[in-house]
Amino acid sequence: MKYRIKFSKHGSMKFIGHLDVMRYFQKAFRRSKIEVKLSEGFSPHQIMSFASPLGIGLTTDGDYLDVTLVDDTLTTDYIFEKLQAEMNGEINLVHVSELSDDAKNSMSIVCACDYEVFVKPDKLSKFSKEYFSNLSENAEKFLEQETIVVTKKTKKSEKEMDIKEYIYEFRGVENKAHSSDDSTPPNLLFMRLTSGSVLNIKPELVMESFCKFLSIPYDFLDYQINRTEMYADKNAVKGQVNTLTSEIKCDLVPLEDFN
Amino acid sequence: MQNRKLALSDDILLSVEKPARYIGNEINMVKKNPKDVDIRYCMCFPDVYEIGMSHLGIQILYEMFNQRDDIYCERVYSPWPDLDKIMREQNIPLFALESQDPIKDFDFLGITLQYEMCYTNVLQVIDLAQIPLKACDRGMDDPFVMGGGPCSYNPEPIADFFDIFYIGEGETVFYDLMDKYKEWKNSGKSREEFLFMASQIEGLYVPLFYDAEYNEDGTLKSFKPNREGVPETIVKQVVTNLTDTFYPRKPLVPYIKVTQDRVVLEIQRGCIRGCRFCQAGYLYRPTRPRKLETLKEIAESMIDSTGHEEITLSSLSSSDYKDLGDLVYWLIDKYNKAGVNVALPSLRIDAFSLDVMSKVQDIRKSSLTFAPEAGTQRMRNVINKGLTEDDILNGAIEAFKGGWDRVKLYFMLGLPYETYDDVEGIAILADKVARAFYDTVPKEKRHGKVSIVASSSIFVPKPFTPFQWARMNSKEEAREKRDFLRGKFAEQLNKKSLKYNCHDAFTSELEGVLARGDRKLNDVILEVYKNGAIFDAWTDFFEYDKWMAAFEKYNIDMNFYIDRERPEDELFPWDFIDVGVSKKYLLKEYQTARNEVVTPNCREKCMGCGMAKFKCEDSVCFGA
Repeated sequence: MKYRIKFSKHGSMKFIGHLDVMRYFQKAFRRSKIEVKLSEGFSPHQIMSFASPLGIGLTTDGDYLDVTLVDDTLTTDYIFEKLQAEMNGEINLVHVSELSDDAKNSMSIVCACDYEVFVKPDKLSKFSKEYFSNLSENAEKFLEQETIVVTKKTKKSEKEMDIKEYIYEFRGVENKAHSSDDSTPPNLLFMRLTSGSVLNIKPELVMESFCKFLSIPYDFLDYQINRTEMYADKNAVKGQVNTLTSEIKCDLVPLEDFN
Repeated sequence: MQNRKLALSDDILLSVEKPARYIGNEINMVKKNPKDVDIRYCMCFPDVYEIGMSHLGIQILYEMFNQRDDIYCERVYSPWPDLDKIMREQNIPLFALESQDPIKDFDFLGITLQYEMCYTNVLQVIDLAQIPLKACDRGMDDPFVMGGGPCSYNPEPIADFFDIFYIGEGETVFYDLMDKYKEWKNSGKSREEFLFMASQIEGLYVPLFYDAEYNEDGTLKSFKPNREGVPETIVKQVVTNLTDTFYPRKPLVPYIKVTQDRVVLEIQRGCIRGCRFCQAGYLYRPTRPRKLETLKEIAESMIDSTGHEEITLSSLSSSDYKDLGDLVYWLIDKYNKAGVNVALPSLRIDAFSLDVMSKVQDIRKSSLTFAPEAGTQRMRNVINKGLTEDDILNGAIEAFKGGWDRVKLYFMLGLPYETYDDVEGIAILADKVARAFYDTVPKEKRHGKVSIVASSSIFVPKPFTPFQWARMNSKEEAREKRDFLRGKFAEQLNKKSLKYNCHDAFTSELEGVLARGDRKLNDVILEVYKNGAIFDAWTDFFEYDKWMAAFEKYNIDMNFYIDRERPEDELFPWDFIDVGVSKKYLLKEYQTARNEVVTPNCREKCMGCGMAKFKCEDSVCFGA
């Protein structure tokens, strides 16, 4: 039986890279005694796949992994409880859902992600009061540009690209955790971006472009990026990105609700 | 959610390689409130995290200490050079992984000394912790710096930097020391008074209380306590019943891949063989096997608590563990189907080991390992390595029949009484193994050529071995032998199937100096460190010239330590330690070596080495 597990990753765990998170879950499953189905071959490995790697330094409220278990009588509540008991306090389970046997794995269906971008507490002094008070307005203006051209770097080449269409949302929002006496910023940026195997827009790239738009220097160390959700597209067409303005429009559903 | 406090800022952690080395919070990490304990102990392996986390000894002591409610034992490893630089620039004190608190606020910093080339890393750790480098400069607010592990059996080259050395196995007198410390802590007594209390515990060596005097030729004249009540001899501490001693059930599980990323099951301690070059073989006598049922139970609990996908067995010579077959088949039956791999230690190649290897390894990908150590039978008799050419060839032939076609052979160059015939013997033996392959496996069954990889390291004489008197080859001699051997490999019939690798002679030379060094070397090591040397064990970072400059500055001749056959009556810097095996016995063995005579192993016959006096129950001394 296939299951989809939504998990969060915060605190010091943001320094643990994607491959190590995989190893972490493999070992956690073994400790929980929930048996994961093994692949064939001389050195069998657990059948487990992640929706999308999260870069070192980023946190998440909702990343996903799909896993095939040996025992198909287990309830999602049971799995949640047993596996959560093996978590380390900074990586936690959020939700477990059952998948049909023919469900596509999350890696192949993820098509958009939500991110929150905060100024880190120790970097607040680098930013003016106006930066925060004008954040919503500036975010709107940023998105109103005709084009948003960025330089997308790959291992092989650099190319210019207009990513405006692939930014589904970009706005300033109030930081709910903020109070006047703490060191968190009063507001932050929320963005929903195209993601996945066809085209992947990184939040860092959008931030860099936004800073350029504001004519302020960009330093990736100034911001904490937190992924909040990952989506599949109900209207997905293989090898194609559906946007809000394309011929076939995207219809986004959080991965946990998509079967 | 409240985030864990980290000692390093995001900016630093995101700018260094593998930040996971510095954040702690591994699975099975012990969490205590430092305010609730009386003693804070920081255990250190002075090398990079991935190496240090693979060390079983620290895992044992970590869990043993933390069993006590009044102690919080934490860990630290050497910061990699990238972070080292930042910590110096920004004056960040070295911190423990668990609490992320500065180590200078701890009661103890305990450093394990596994190889000589870590000595500059020892200074790095003490220095970054902002603790005075020399024990004599430390004050009431500084932690006590302790050393232990194999290199502490000749602690003299680094004696200045340690308050206390623990000579022996960690499971024995640590608790006693901790109790004494609690007594002392709030008594208002001086630092020196605590060191005196420590010196009264058997096995603990306080360098401050001893003076060394030298003869004009540089050899040791006398080594004596400089105050009343301090023992003249330090007796090594030995676990007398290994089955009942402490073993960790919940080892730490790192996030990043480390060298030993698996459950390690120590099946026995000590070795019956008595190979004359092997320090561990003498230091860890007598052979003490753990009971099979206990091992099964420990293996189960460690696999359950870690979720590791591999388990391996640890000991100096696993083939000599009597219940090895039962244990290995039990592990395979229980775990292989569950996807937990059984990684075999190096075993004597015979029908049994080939059978288990074929069960747990992909034959096409795995290779056979033999450690003949020397190329001719004459030389193997000198070093007391029981392995014969027939053992090797018959083992290899059986393996070739079973489908293996890759063989690794390990040798040493520069052994005492070595001749060029012995050196050439390495190439000849490698070729014989290749011939055995072509004679055994018909053409149609071969997958290309057989691959024989021979590696040689340079022999370094170590304290407490029969070769402690022996002259070590200079790096020029070693290089000559290596080049000669390389030429001989090229002359062999099956040269295309043979490959020869040789270790770096520079490092071995220095190891030779440090291994049998004396107190005079403290200045050299300090000087090298102050000139920026760290991570000497890493070829990329090793700076030979810095060492040469330091020896020159202090007018110390390296050849005094290596290029010299020591007289039989010479007083050695490590002679004040009683490891159980007597100097008389070692000397007798050295003479036996010269006569090319093999000494029976401990199970065949007791040769009276001296270990029996420890009265270890369940040890080979009493028939186990």
